[in-house]
Amino acid sequence: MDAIGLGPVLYVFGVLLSVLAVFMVVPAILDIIDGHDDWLGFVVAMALTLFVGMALALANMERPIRLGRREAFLLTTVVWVCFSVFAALPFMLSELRLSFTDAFFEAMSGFTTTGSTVLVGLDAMPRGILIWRALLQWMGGIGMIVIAVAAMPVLKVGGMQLFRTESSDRSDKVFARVADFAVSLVVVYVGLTAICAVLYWIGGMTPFEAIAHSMTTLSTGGYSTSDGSIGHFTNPIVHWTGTVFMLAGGLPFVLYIRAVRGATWALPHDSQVRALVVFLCVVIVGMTLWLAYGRGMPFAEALRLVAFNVVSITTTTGYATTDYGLWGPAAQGIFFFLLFVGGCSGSTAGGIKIFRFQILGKAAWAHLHALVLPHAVAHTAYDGRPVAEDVIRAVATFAFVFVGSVVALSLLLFANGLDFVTSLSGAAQAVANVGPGLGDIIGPAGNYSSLPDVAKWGLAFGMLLGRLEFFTVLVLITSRFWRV
Amino acid sequence: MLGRRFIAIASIVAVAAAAGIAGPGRADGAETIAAPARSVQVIDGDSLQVGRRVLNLAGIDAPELGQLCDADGRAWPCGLDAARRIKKLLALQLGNLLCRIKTSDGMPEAAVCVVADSDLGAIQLTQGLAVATDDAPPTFRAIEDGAREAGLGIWSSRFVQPPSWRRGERLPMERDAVSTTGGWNHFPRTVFGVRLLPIPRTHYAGCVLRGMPAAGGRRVFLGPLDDGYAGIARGRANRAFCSDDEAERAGWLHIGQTAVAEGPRVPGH
Repeated sequence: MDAIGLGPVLYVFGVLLSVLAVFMVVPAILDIIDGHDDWLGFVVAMALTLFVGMALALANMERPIRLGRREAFLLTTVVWVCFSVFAALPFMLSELRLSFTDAFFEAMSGFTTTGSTVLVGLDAMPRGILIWRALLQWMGGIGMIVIAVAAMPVLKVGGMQLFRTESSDRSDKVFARVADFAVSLVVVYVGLTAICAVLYWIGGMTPFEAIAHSMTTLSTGGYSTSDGSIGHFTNPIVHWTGTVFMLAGGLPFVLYIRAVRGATWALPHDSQVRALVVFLCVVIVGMTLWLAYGRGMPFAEALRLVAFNVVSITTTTGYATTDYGLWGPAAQGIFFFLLFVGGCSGSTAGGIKIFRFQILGKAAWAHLHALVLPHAVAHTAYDGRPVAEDVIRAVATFAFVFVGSVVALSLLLFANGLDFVTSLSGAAQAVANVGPGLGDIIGPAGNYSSLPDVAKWGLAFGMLLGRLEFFTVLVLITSRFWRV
Repeated sequence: MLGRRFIAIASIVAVAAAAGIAGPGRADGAETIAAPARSVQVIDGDSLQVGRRVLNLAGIDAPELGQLCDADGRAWPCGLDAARRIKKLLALQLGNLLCRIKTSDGMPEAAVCVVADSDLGAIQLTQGLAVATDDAPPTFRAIEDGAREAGLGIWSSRFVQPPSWRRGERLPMERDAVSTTGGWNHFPRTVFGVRLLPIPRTHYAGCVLRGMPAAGGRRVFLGPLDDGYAGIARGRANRAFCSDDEAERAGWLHIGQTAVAEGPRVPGH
């Protein structure tokens, strides 16, 4: 193997860091308009970020840019970690004066579109900080789609090679025409965000609130401009808009691009999309009936509340319209398991993701058949195509590492004296990039600021692992990766 | 979590017993008021205004609004955060807040407040945002011990016990004038009369409640969580208070007490 080409990695990283710096202009301008002193923090953070970004880019500029498999692994992890460090600067330099631990946690939670927050009193916060949080999630969301569509199938992370082989239009060609794809993706992403913002505005949000929330809805991030999250807004139009667009953020964005390009029925014909929608319908109908008839809530209200909160947790957004933790132990159990589900591959959502459940379910079924009829040839098929053994193995390994990470992180939280519900749900939500956990401390009505610093670092690492689908990060700690 | 209902009921019974509140079977003295949780005004981390009644959460004492905690050398506005966390909790509730209050002529009144089977005082203790008072039930002490052992909230910082703080004790950090604008103190703030950097504002020893005259000759006070506080803080205030207790003892009313309709009463509930 050749030595890792650090030059191209640093060059691309430098360019991306400069882009991040440019985005800091937005909150700075808002704070200047509002006459709030925080603009200075953003300008200083921007200058520092731009300086480092430009220096790295200029020092490593060479053509052509060659990014192999190992460089792609390294770049992805470096971008998510270092972006969080630089994005944390405004939180430390603003009137919030967060500690580095809290600022990094908030930034990592933003970039990974998790949505766990250490901030409280959002309603009274300057608009600069609020839009910065929204921008972090919005950037993290589109960044994840690019990685999931262009890089992960080639890197064969967690069975994502499935999307490399199944359709040439989604895989190698897309990777080869990454610029073309990126332009289409930006158009779709911005378009959906704009439609969502208009609907939020019609539902009674101010233009600022509508834009900030539409960014964190499409990116399935969940940062809000109010402590009451979406529950702060009482108009059902807002709740249903949120429900629809959180789901939109959890669907494969490649399919939107194909739909725009003429394949109108690409979305409903996709087996992952169908499975996610059917799953959501079953859970929503079941819980609505239970709330309506078991707890006496009016049916329309129960449907609205359940649909919003179930879609929010399943798509790993993390908004809340009410504290569903108070609906009783049965609801808590369901919401705990929903933390693991996630959206579709190639979306902004986290979690285990629907296609992995489909593959594992089919593989388990085939295995069962093989036990009954040992000599029969059993194939696992997905979307009408046979699934290679290495995909099944990769998916099973992914599921194992996912659960293993949740267990390890829970143990860390237990060791820090946190209770059972907080530890387990905190670990699961971090790895699945959801946002709120369960319980009084980190539930929908809680906050992560109470947690000790060690727990915050552990959770931030869990978010990174889950967002980059574990192996992108874990491969860096193997000695073979670095060996020439 | 599963024991929350038990803790809520147990704490109502225990506090009722400790404070001499009549049980549900006795109509004299026991009084429960209910109000939509989202309509409740939060004064600080352990005080609410339900209807026109200002209530202190029984069994807990949260840092006062202007109190700072020393989190590894960083001035953390723990009192304000404790209040905001209760406000956030109530903002996500769809049902009523039920407060069982002690009949008392003096202010402030102690109350056990429960929302959706959860005791607000217990939640504040669980999150490490308050300390248990001397007359708190054993369940509250156990919850406080759990939060302290896990280093949650204020227990991971240095802070003055709220009763001592009300008597005037302050951390060295609080005694120093604390700039709210960050670490820019060594930079020039103006050059040739043009302001480059924010002028530091001083955290004036934590007495952030503002008193002002209101219509009808009444005297009202506002805290940072009340609407209109920013405006009053700039000019019309003619009195500063370090705690809501101090303001109430001096005969000042919380701003909402003069304007908000009283919540429905449920006697003997």
